[in-house]
Amino acid sequence: MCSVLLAVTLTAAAGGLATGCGPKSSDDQWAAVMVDTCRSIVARARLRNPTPEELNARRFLDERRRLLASGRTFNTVSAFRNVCGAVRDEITGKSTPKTTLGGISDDPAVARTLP
Amino acid sequence: MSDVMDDPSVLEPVGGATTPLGSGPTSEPPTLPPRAGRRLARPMWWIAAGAGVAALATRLPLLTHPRVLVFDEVFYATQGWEISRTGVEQGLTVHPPLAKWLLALGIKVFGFTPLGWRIVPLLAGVLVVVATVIAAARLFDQRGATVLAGAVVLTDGIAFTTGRLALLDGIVAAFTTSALAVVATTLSRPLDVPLRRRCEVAAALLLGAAVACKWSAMPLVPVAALVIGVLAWRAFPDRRMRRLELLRSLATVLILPVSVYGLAYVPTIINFDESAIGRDWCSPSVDCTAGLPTRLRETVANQRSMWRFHESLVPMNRYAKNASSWVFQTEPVGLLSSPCPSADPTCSSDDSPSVRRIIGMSNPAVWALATIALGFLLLSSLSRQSLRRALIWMWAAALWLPWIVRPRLGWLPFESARPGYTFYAAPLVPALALALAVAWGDIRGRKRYIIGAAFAALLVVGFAVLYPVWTGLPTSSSYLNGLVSPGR
Repeated sequence: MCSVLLAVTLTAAAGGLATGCGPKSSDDQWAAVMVDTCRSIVARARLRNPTPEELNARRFLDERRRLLASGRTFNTVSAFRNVCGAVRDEITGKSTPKTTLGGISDDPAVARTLP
Repeated sequence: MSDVMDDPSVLEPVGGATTPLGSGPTSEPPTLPPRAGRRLARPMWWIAAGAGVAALATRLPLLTHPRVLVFDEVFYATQGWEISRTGVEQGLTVHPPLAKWLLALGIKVFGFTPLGWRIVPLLAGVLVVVATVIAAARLFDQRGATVLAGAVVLTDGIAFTTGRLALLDGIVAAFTTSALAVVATTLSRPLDVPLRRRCEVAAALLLGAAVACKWSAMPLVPVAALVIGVLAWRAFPDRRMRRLELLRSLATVLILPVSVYGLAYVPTIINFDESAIGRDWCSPSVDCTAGLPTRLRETVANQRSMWRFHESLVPMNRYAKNASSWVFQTEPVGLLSSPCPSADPTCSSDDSPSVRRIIGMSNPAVWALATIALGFLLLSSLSRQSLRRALIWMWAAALWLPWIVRPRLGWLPFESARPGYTFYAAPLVPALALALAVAWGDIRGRKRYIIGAAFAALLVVGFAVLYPVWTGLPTSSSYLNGLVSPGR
């Protein structure tokens, strides 16, 4: 039994390191998920549906490129927070509250001020 | 029944003299038990397989719904996506990388889709159920208790929700529960030295992997070392041999996890330039070519940053509460709450507007009973000198207490720990299930069957009532109001 569990663990670890197969998950795929996630958060806040000009994949892609090019450490969710927060601002005309965006824990995020 | 639960292996070693736990050496060298006894009985494998299939059958439906990132999936699925492309997390990290590597594997195979980021947590959750059954079978060798332990994990809301979402805790639970099953295996054959040595290595690797996912698994390392150390000490009659065996065992259990943890950072060191650590180091300098010593030094320095982060973190999220609230599940985490789109015909409801909610909470009655069972286990492990019973409560304590209190210098040697979320309890659930199984197994006579049937009914009813808010099925907004009111 120990051998089986060990084999499963090692296989999983080796598989995790072998990244040469499967479909390529592109920037566009990531940006599309960000758009959908932001749309669900806006809906949860019972705000009106954002227009394509307000909420689109390009905004997330541009923000991510800006963060990567900044040469500074950034939070994993910075691109998402910045763009989705801005979308909410545009819809409501108010500044985004400092609380979390619709059910994301502040666990890895709040203790630092990051771009 | 109590004979089975009373640690026959410790009190009455197979083929050796009767030696209570921790007592002096046996007068004769231990006799190795027959090899056939190493294998689980066939019915136990059937129970484990059945539990695994049931876990898959109940968790697979609606796995890809919602099709958006839920709660902290936005961190970990994104980091998994980054790893699948560059071999490293590009943003700030506050947890070690292994669980995110495993998420990356799913994303690599299925793309950055809900199936891609949730397939590994699903498999991890199934492994948790199967490993719990194996641990129970090893510890009790009793079908009823084994089935009960598996049923508790199968129907637990924390195990269920973390087994369907791209959070780290479900993956941590898979490694820790596998380690628990391995330690249970060596406890079931305490005088089988070759088996114990293999299990030591397996347990050490699994615990190292768990810590390489999240530091919260670290307190399990000394628990495993203690149990394995006791067995190693008792393995030989000769004093010098005992010391050597104890040293060898402790070295294995304590050093191997560190090695696994270090290995988890090899991709970070290789892809240093792409990582947040590398970017942070590079920014002020002109020449950003980091040599190996720099990469190693900065990666170690990053561990200190992570420690400082967790030390100073004061979660502001309303769902973060002290873990003492886990007993009655009074502060469950609302992982998702989304109004149904009016265009969605499956989402309509007659009485009030419909919502889809995912709530990280368990059956409160089961958790309250499990907490009582843990207390019972603590007392009975002392009165019966049972290492098997002690393993279960020590495992639970190592995973629960650090979220309730933390040590400090002062007149009171501890203070309240920083708040956590209910889904942090995912690795704890199997230990609770085992505690309940032991407590039930100690009941004698007809009462045992009556209580067993009542408990089974409690599990089934709780599962049926809470299933909609574990899976995000549409419910009326008033559904379970009062009972399920996260963050109130």
